[in-house]
Amino acid sequence: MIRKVSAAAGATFAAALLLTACAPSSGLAGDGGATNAPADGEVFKIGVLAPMTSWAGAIGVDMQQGWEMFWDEYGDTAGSFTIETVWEDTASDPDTALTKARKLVEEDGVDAVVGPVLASEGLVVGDYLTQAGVANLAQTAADDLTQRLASPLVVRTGAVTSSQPNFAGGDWAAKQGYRTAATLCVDYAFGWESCGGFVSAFTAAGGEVTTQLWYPGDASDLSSYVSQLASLDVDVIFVGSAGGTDSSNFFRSANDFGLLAKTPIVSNCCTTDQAILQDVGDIALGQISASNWAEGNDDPEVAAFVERYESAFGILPSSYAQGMYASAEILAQVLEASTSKPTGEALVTAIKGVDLGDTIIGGGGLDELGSPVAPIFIREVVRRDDGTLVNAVIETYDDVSQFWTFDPEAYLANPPFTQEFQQQ
Amino acid sequence: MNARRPSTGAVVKGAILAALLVVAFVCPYVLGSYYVSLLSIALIAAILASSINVLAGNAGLVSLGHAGIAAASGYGLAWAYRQGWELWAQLGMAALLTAVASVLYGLISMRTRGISFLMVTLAAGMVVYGMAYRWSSVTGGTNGLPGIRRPEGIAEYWQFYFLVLVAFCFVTLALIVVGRSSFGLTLRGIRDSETRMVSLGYNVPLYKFGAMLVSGAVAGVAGVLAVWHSEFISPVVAGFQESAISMIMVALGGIGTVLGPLVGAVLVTGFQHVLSSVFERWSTLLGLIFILSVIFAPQGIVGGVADLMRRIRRRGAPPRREQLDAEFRA
Repeated sequence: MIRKVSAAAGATFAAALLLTACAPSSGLAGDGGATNAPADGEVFKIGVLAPMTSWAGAIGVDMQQGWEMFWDEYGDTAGSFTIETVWEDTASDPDTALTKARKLVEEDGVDAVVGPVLASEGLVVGDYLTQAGVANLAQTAADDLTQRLASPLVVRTGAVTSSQPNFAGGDWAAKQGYRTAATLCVDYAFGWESCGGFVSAFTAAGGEVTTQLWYPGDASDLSSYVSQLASLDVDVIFVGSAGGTDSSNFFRSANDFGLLAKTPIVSNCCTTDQAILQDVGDIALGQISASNWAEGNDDPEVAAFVERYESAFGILPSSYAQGMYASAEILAQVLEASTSKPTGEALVTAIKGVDLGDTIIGGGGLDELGSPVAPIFIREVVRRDDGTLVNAVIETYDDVSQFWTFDPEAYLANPPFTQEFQQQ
Repeated sequence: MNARRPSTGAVVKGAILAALLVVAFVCPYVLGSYYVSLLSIALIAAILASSINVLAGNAGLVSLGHAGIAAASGYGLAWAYRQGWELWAQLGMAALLTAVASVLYGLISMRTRGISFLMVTLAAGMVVYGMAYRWSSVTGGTNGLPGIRRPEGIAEYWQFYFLVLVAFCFVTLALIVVGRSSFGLTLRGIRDSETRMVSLGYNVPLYKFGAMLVSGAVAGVAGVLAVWHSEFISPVVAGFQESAISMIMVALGGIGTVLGPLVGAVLVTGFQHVLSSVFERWSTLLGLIFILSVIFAPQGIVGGVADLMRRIRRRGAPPRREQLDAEFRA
């Protein structure tokens, strides 16, 4: 019996191992980015929480590259402080992220925590760090982190809210003269918030959303949704995908069903992510999306950053790499200006005073709840001279707030975006 | 089984347990808060593993869905807390959902065994996961329910650790009692020969249903403690991976042994949280250890060590009846 049980457990384990251990990752959780402190200069210790293993492992690698590239260029001293980084792997799991946050605070005694990036991780870690009194430079897009669950110790330096870019997307679509729209979004918080942003701004600008479709996060085939969309008579379609295989599958199905040729599409940040463009190739040419990051931006500073990153790592920087680079820039600025070591609320307050125009984010600042008021780019997929597909900027909305043009007070009195609540 | 004079094995076992208890009691006084909280995690994992162990060890039923019962309990507590309910009502809600989940698990699995039991519990676990994931107006969806706080009296990490320690000891003792009761012996009969128990007139499905209720209650305790520990719950805790890891803890520690779940839980938790800070491929290493354990100590670490000690002792003394029994069974 025991052998049988062991054999069954063995089979189980093999499956679990496949799930947990296969995610590719090149960095080492322990030694990445840690620098040796020289004799002079007080140490400013930063704990970084990133998913280095499991399903979001690729994001962790991008984050590490963005962070390390900044400190390699800048040197490991900011003002009178020597920067020391401790990396911890969240294994893409909120409970592990929480335990690792505890370790960083209670064992390593870090002065600030950067990350994590996944929404569920971000909310629980932000809650813990608020209790512990440690500043959190969040990298996650979960709306409520700086809205209904805002904290004086949490500031979103490496991302914007999930709905924020899509407000601009909705407004842009209405300005193109589109009057009716249908949406297709992934059925969990990120998709609800992406869709909510588009729907709210599109209707506020006079448009009408006639159909909203939702697909489960693990759907591998989107053709049934695409065929429904293809049968609709609407001016524009909004797609809010999770930015994984769902995006690639959407483009392939939409191409097969003739949807790409029939109806204009506007999508969220991640639907035309670099990884997706590499995957689907030319059928994505000309696709429109809205995001706070565009690797094809011809702004000289952004272009220079992209070029340096590409020559260092051989790939174009993702928004995760950009977020970490921007967070490091912001932190370095604050430390340069500080005489005594800023921690906790004082650090967050100082960060909220930083001018984002001096960073790769490209303008704006942080609002009092700690979320960026930043430029949002309407992007089009174009072919670069060397043949690579990139998201180029066709229009910029400056100083977009997490509340768009709505009254923050009324906005916060409303529930967060769900399938049922889509229109501010 | 000598009632008058305890065997050397029993004395050694008792001494190990007493030493472990002393160490466990001293830990919060010498270790930092982070390591104490890791111990809490390990003990909570051990309680969940014990709930699987009671089924696997006594009745030979391997469950791959127990995280679902723990999650149902945890969601009950978390939801009630966020409704502003009193502590007793929160615990009542957790108990109610635990009972509902256990009854449902029991009803659909009581007529199965072996692989089909495993698949049915796996499916039940996925149903709970699906509900936690999709029923977002109640469960918060993927973002989960943050902002839960422990009640006063166990708010400090060390207070909570002692609560978890007491809960673990209580659960372990209770499961020993259950295992030695006539109910437990009947379960073992079912494990060893279900057809014989049926022909003897036992209502086998009813016993399996009862075992699931006992096991579910223990999983429910683990669910409440887990929410209190992380002050948060998300669908991840109901997922297949969570159930599988608990099963691995049991198999690694030793199925049917008293300390197996604890040893497995400490080892796996250590890998997950301590080793992962210095070695990224920790899950690969854990897998290797598990494979080695299946090959060289199929009865798990605790079972393997007990076996080894028995062999050493047997050199000097004639075998006892219980050893003969054990060998006969194997």
